[in-house]
Amino acid sequence: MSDEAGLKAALAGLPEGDESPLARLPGTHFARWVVMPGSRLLFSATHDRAVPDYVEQIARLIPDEADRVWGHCDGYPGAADPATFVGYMDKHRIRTNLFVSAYPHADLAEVREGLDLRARLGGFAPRAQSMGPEELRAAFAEAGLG
Amino acid sequence: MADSRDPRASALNLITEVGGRGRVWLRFLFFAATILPLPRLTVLRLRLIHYARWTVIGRSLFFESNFNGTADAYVEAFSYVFPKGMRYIWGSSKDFPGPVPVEALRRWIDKGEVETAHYYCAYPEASTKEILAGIEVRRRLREFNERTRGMDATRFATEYQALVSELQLQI
Repeated sequence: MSDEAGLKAALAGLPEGDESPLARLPGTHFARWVVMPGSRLLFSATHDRAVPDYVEQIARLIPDEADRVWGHCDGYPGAADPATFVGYMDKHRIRTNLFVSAYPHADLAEVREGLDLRARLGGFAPRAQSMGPEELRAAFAEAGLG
Repeated sequence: MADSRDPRASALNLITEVGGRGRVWLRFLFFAATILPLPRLTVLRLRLIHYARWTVIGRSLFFESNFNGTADAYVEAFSYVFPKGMRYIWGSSKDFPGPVPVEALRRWIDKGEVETAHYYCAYPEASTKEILAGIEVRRRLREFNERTRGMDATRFATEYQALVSELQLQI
């Protein structure tokens, strides 16, 4: 990369949280860009898709942001042609040697649904203590638990 | 060491220099750890880590973690729960001081830490424990709903009480 300051400015200019372009990539649990020593850019994502599909959706879903960031990297072909983009990424891909996960079998939808159901049940259980059987069953369904 | 703004989703990047023999050792170690579950289970005993990865890049070892809480507390927990594993993994890294004393370890990590330029987490408000609890609640609710479909209200209420009692640690 020849313009590290420009790259850092581009990364600093990206919106954060739910507005992050990475939030628009389905299946993304965690992701980051890191400017490494030696003027190298590292992109890392923890996702639940097949790698080629995940990389292709970067070109399809966030092409402008991809160009703004990787446009500072040598030889970057742009995201206009997803196949070329995938080829470039594949050429520069580094395979992880060891990966550990606290919940390796849960995809993003399952994690989110689990968090939602846990919150619902946690809110429902105290209210349900005074309910009779019929009321309980109806309220259980109304609370989105059944 | 910079703490994250959100203590429930923090990122750490650590890059350390490793000699030639060290890199051969690491490749063997990581291969073994992929097959043997014990090292991974020990790391996950921390209950702070969502995901972590180790990658040999050129002459360096790159460690990346997504965890709950502050980086200081994370390093302290790592040093306490995983001292032997830390020696195996970072023992071949330049100037590694060992897992204890933790102050020396923190200084060493500070030197090798690389700032995250842009970070995204899909569920920044959730801790690892909450996510694991949510996954269990989801699984048990699915079983429960399957089992109680068509059941009369009195039996449903009994089954519900049993479910909530069994899930009290999760909710």
